[in-house]
Amino acid sequence: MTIKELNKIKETYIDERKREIEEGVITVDVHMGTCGIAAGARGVFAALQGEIERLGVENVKLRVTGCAGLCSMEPMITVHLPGQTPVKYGKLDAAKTREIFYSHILGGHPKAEYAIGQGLEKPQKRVEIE
Amino acid sequence: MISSVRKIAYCASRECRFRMPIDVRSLLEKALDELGYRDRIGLVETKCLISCFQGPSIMFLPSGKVFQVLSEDNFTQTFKDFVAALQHPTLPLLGEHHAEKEIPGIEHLAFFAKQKLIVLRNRGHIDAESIEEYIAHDGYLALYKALTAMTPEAVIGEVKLSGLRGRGGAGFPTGTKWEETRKYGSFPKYVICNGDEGDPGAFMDRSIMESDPHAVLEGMIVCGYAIGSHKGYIYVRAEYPLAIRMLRTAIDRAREKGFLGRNILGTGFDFDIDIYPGAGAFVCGESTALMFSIEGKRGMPRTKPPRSTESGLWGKPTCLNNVETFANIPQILLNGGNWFRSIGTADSTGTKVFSVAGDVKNVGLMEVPMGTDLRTIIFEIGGGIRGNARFKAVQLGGPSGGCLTEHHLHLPVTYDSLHDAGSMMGSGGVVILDESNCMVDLARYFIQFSVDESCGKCVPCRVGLKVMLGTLEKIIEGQGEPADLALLERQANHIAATSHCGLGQAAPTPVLSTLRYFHDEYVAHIREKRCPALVCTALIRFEIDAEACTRCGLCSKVCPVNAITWQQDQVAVLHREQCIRCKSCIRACQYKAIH
Amino acid sequence: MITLKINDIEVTVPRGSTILEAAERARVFIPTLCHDKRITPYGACRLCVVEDRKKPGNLIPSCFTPARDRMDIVTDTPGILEAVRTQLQLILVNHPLECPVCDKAGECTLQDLVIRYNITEAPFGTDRFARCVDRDSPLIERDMTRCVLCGRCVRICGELQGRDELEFIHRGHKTVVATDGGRALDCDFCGLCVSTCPVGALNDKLFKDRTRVWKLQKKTTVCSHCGLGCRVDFHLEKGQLRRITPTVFPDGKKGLICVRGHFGWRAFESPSRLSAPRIRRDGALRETGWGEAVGYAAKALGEIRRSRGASSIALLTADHLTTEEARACGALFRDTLGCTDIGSLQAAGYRRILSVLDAELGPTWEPATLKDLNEAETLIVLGGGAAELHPTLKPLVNGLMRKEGRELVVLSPWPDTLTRRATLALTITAGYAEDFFAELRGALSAERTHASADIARFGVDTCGLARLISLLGEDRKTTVLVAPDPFGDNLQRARLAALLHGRTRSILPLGAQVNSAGALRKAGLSSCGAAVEGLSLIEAIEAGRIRALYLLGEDPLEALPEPARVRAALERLELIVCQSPFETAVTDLAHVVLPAALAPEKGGTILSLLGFESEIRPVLPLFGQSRPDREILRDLAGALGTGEAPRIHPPSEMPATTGLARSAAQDTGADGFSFRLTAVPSLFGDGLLSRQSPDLAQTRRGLRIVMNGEDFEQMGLGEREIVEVRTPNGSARAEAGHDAAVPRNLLLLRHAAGSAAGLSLIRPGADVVPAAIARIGT
Repeated sequence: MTIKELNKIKETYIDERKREIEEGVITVDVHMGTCGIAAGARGVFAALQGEIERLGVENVKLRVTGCAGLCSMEPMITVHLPGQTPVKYGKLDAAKTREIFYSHILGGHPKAEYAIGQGLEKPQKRVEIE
Repeated sequence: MISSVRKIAYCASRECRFRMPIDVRSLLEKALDELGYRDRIGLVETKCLISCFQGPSIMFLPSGKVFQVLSEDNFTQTFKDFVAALQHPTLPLLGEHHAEKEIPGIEHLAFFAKQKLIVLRNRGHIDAESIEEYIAHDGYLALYKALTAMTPEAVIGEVKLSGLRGRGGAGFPTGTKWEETRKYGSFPKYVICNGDEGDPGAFMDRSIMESDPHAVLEGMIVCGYAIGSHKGYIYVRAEYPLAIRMLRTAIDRAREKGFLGRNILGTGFDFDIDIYPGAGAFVCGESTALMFSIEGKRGMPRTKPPRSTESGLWGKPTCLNNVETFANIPQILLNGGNWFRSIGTADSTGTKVFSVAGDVKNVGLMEVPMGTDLRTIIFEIGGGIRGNARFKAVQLGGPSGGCLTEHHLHLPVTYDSLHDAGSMMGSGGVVILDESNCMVDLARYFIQFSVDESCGKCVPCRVGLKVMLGTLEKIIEGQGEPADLALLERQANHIAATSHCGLGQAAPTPVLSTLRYFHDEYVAHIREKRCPALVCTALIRFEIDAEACTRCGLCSKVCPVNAITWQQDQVAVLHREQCIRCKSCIRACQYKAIH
Repeated sequence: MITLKINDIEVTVPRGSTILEAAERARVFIPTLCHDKRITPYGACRLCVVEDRKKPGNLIPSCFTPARDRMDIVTDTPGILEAVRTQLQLILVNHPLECPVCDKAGECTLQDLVIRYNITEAPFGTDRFARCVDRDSPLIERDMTRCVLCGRCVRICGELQGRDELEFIHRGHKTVVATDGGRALDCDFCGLCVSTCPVGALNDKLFKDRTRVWKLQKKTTVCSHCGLGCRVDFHLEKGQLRRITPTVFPDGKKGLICVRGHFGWRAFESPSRLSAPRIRRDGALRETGWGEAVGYAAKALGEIRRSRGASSIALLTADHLTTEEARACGALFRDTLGCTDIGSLQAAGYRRILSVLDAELGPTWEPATLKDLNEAETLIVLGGGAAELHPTLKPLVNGLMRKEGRELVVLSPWPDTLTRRATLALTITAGYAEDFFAELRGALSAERTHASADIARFGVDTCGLARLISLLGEDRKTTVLVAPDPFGDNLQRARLAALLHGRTRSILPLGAQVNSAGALRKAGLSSCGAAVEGLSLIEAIEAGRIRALYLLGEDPLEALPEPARVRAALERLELIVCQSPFETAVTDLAHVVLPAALAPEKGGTILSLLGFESEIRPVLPLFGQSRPDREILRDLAGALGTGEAPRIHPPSEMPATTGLARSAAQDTGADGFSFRLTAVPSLFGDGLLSRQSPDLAQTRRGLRIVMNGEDFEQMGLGEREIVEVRTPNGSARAEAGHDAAVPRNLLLLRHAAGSAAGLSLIRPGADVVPAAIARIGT
């Protein structure tokens, strides 16, 4: 592994993200640290997975990430729509998740009643925005 | 209503038996054209939406309401009817977007805004199993810099300059430890990451290992380079299976990409890491006991000298650091020791991750600059006490830490600032207690923990803590005598002064600090045989205070054995013979009328 | 050297000493409970806390904290006294107050400290609970209810004895010291754990409930079970021996001891002890008086000497004679009588090795001493069984190995106890040990500069061998121990040792009996003639050259292979005189039986194989009518009254090879012999004395064979099952055991000495014979 290869990995990653934006890919991060799992994040993930498959939606990318830090609001997800500020949702269950799926993920309209906040913590940022 | 529709999903499934006769898409297009919504509303093709009983389905998004198309005739009117049938009072009409304004920006939320992320910079943001994501977020650049552009001495110099101190709680200067290990000429040397995190209620290290395992690996490899070691071990407690899994995946990925193994980054430096799961002993978080555990021996601390940096694992120089300490290293190397030094205080540089739990609104992980005061942590970031309760005490540092009261909230949290108050920062576990907690019971809880986890080697910890536990239980059961307080204090001081390792030396701290700040609670338990917090069941009389009773009848409803009778507008009556002392009524009564 | 103050007394100690050691030098008492000078400090009891005036209030445990220059230590502040008293009170919380029935009373550290610190209250209450009590193990009783968890037994067994038999189980207040699975003890039974236990948790079963320690009188002497010469204390109550313990040296450190010395003392009162002289009259042995017995022996000896010549009388000595007695013996038999055949059976190996070394190195060479062992950075052991021959060698060597950088190399054809702790263990294929040593000698001598590749055929790992050779080449102080094979030739290992003497100047032959070293080096009673070795002696008897055998504590029937042949040979002798403490198999064939005293019953000088000379005095009364050997020999000399001036004969030259033809390794596979069998020395003693102890017999359990675990499983054997062992030479029943370290298809035969059946399995001169095992009933 040379520095060139290291940078290449980073570039490839950024290119992929840019391509995703162009293609309108929506990224949903499900926070599945042990705290999230204990609170029911697997159900949230399954709900999202289920709806995506059922509707045959192809532009939604599900990711599993670690704990977002606010454990008392678990299960949490963060929804990134291209061109929009990411929104963090908390205290979810399968039913609420489905509502968010239709309202925000498919419909583009954040569901404020379940949202904690929007934006990312410093120093986090979307890598495509360099 | 139509303005609230963004998309319409229609089923394009070939299997749909209703599809053939009705071309839903053209119908929709036609209707949208006629109504002039075509450019505002998108059409999404999906698989089967719902069982179609009478006709093909279409779904209006974002509401998710589904309609079935029964006939093609006059579809535009049908469409208008569908729209009218939409009832979404909460969604605003076109042009008003204050729904988006309702969601506050993260920067306005104290929980997020007041934190400063260094160790946790990637939390929740990257897929921990993907090494590409870690690399994309400046991962392994520090390793590259260290291996190709810095000598081991320079690396140690940068770490020393940063002022980083051991985040496991002892606070030994990390750079100095690396320097010491480097100077011994006995090989092979070892790097150990202490992921045993035994404090009840602490989960900082778990989170770091689950969310950003590569940061830990990178820190360890840099350490190996700095001290001249080629082998690292991560000792993770067995109760963290997800962390173990994440670390294993991370190690596999790192090996594939050549960050672990031979000739790392083509520099000729070899380093590899293995994970060693623990087996359920808190005492194995003590570094010499941990090393014995890895050697397959009984986890009991040993005498020092020699220190582990000179003779540790298998008698060889060993550098042991905490997970959080290692996770700081990549950032220190990338941004410089001076940058790290500029955060925090002069003696405690950088940030510290605290896992805040208990009776606060915001339970979670908080990374703040060293020197942040308790009030900020608890009331701003933590959001204050949950419910309508009042703050009573905060316990820092797990079973080794002491409690602090509201008089101490102004104190900054660093390695040394809390000693005079009888507490310590510890590894970062913070437990907030409201008035529903009994401090005597809390002390007993922590002593019980230490009694269970004591390795049994030395007399004061093995026997002394058990004796203290006996005394505390006696007090809680209502058999306490006035002499018990002096006995507790004498015992506590003795154990703290003569124990062999940190477990015993720190175990009596909860007792000493609760005795210091909540003396009257102990006195109430002993003299009045009363528990003011209504926790110690043996000391609760289970009487209803007629004057305080608001005659709401709630207690009667929640009693599982119907021991409370109540009639409208009457004071509730508790029948002690049937009472099983479960305290459901006490919890239910909002007016504290039962004691 | 550093100087510090303890309670205002200035004391100078070497750098690296602990504060406790400095306090001892200053004669200031600091209480300890978990401390034993033989093992590394532990820091568990926390009684030894002291304070440095420069850091008041900070309690420092003195047993492991290094003393530093200009420290100002105090040991008696009120805070320290309070801490010590609290510690004792805490220990007493769980300790049963059984002093009236506990054997330790009177020498119990806890008791002494409680009295010294005047603990009269139990402010913390008591929380007595029963822990395991083991009364089933032989020799050692474990009463864990009394245990104070000081860890001394765990550490001494792990660190010194290397058995790790006792270990802490569970943790916290539930900790107990136990064996794995809570089974009975199955270890070396050295009793070091008993010697270190500060309370009555580990007890000597031979001493249990006999008497109280304050009624005992202590006499220090040298153990007489082997030639290592450990100092021990005999504890007597009104002249009756009650127990033996390792001695305590002037610096307060206790010595080491093994199972034989510790628990084998009832041999002194064994039923086989001879108490009256006997003469064979009318075909039977009859008791008689000393005068008549000695007179008879002298007359018979004189007659045979006159008619057949002095060379028809052979002398065998077990080397339990004091140096003075050995001198007298030599003067009488060799010089006065003119005997040319003198030797030993029990010390044959040692004598053989020593004579080869004498021949090759000349008369001025000296064997290594304890100092050489202590200072050696590399210890090389040639041959297996070093720590079986002298069990205390194991804790001694293990203790030495604690030092950083020490190497222990063991070259052995079977896995003995030292192999386990070796840093370099070279296993030689059984039967090829002597060949290998010869090969190695050739490789190391000037003729060749590198090891021959043929060495691989001896089964030795070439990497390991290369490491050994490189170790020899380094500038490291090296001591070589030579362990004789009990039934083998031992020439090649002795010659190899002689060669290594050039490089190391430190060779220690092993296998000596109580005073073999004294007999050989001080009294000149070397082996000569046919008696040098058992087989040649038997052949000389069969050839008719030897007609009389004078046995000093020896018994060919209990020591030599081919017992049937030996018996036949002995029956041909015209005279057998047994001057021995014990009645053994040969006593039945003897013509004169003279009961001799044991070492503890005599006075004189004894030289240990480590070169330490002791002046011993009788600590036990004489048994029955037995007399010390010197008196018997004096009377014999007087009765012989040859009148000739004693002729001094120089000790005979040792031929470079003996008459013992090396038997070719017998084929396995022939006649269904799928195993190879080799006899090995026993931890519990193959010597005459050790075999008379009923308590050692309990742990010994008779003839035993040990095989590899997979072989054991394949044969479907059960634990301790008795099987039939067959070799081309004989058959016997033995208890089968298994050990993972034993190579496959090899059988180790234990406790053959003293067992006619066991001895019948082996052949003289062959260290390995083919063997087969059959389950009884098949």
